[in-house]
Amino acid sequence: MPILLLVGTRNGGFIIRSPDRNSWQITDHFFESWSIQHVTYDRRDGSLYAAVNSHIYGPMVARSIDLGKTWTHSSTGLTYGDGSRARVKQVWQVCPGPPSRPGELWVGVEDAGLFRSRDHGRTWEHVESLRRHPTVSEWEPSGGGLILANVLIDPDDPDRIWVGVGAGGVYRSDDGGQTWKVLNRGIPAPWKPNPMPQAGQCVHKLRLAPKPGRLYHQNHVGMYRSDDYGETWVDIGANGLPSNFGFAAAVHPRDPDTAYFVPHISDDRRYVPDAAMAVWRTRDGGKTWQKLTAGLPQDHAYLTVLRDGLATDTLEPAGVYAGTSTGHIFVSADEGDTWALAVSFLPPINSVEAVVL
Amino acid sequence: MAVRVYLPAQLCRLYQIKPPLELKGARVRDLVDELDRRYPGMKDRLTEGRALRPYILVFVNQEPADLDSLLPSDVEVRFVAAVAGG
Repeated sequence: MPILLLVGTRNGGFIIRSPDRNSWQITDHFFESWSIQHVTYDRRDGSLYAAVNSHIYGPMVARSIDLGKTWTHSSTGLTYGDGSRARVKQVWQVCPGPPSRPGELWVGVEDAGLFRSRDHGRTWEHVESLRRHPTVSEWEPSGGGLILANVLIDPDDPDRIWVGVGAGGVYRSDDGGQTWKVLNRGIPAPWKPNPMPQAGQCVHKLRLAPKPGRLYHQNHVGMYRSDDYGETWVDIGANGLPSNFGFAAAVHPRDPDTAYFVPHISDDRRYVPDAAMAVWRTRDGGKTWQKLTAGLPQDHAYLTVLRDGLATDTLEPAGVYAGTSTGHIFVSADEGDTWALAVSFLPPINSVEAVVL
Repeated sequence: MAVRVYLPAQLCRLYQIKPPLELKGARVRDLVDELDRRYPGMKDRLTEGRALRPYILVFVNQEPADLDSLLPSDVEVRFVAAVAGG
């Protein structure tokens, strides 16, 4: 079954194909010289969407209806308006809407905010309700800027939307984005005068598990799991992981107890512990962890796996993919037990997503 | 009046443009509007709000200009991306 890897890098996006998860071929390089934060596949109609950015020319969202051969792009409406101090500097995340609303898309941007399109990304409208939340005064820039890099839609309820802000925290809307609830109970923000604030936590990655209400969360200060739609969070990183800092998280496509993280040494030395790459897997919802290293570089690997750099596919057994700041993509076709280098010497990788066609 | 317009290479690639473009306009701002009509989204690439983007420069016959600069006859306008970051 053909697999497509959609890869966003600091110098364009790439499409990498495999017939079998063993041999890989780079088939497309698009938006050369633009920074691509995220590329995603829209299962509703087979479109690809890319978050395309330039510090000179600004952000835009691109769409391809032929699997990356040709692209259209737009930033119409992707603005906070002339009267706002906030600027839309980058698009970080593209999230296709539910099947019941064809053409609906959501994007998270820097300066942190949420935009929605109802026409496949041709035009955008600011979801003002989020930035009007009374806790927004707690938000402050993270190392990557003040970014909304996580947008999730509940597959069982198209009006339930989670967003994750760095550094602002987790929010959920149960009414399609009209109102928002702040959801950071149990997660500290130790750089704040009050280290357990209502908001201001630094969310790196949120992932929905295939079980109603369950999310995994890589935060600046730890790994967490929620079983109640984000209302409360359980620290799952304190026992058995070498560090509580990291960027990426991934979930198994069918087993809600299996998740993957890539701990990094610390927030000032942003590479893997001992410069030896390891993906850590839990099979029991975070109670215990296995260190997965077979086939991963173990010597002088000063690499980072960024927020969207870790992904799974939907095959049996599930594939796991890790894209690195050094431009390498490691692939496991056996749920993480063993790994192989699929591609090397790409530009620094921002995102990887696997699509089974 | 006809204006010869040059754009940064990155935007020429994005829109598959071969410079120079022959446009008409009384001010630089008119050229941006015309570019946006021909190449949708170009205005967002060159401007933000009512001003040029921070790293975009414009020159009229090799003299620094801005969006409100008047365009004389037989003129060449170059939009240039500032060299920043290396």
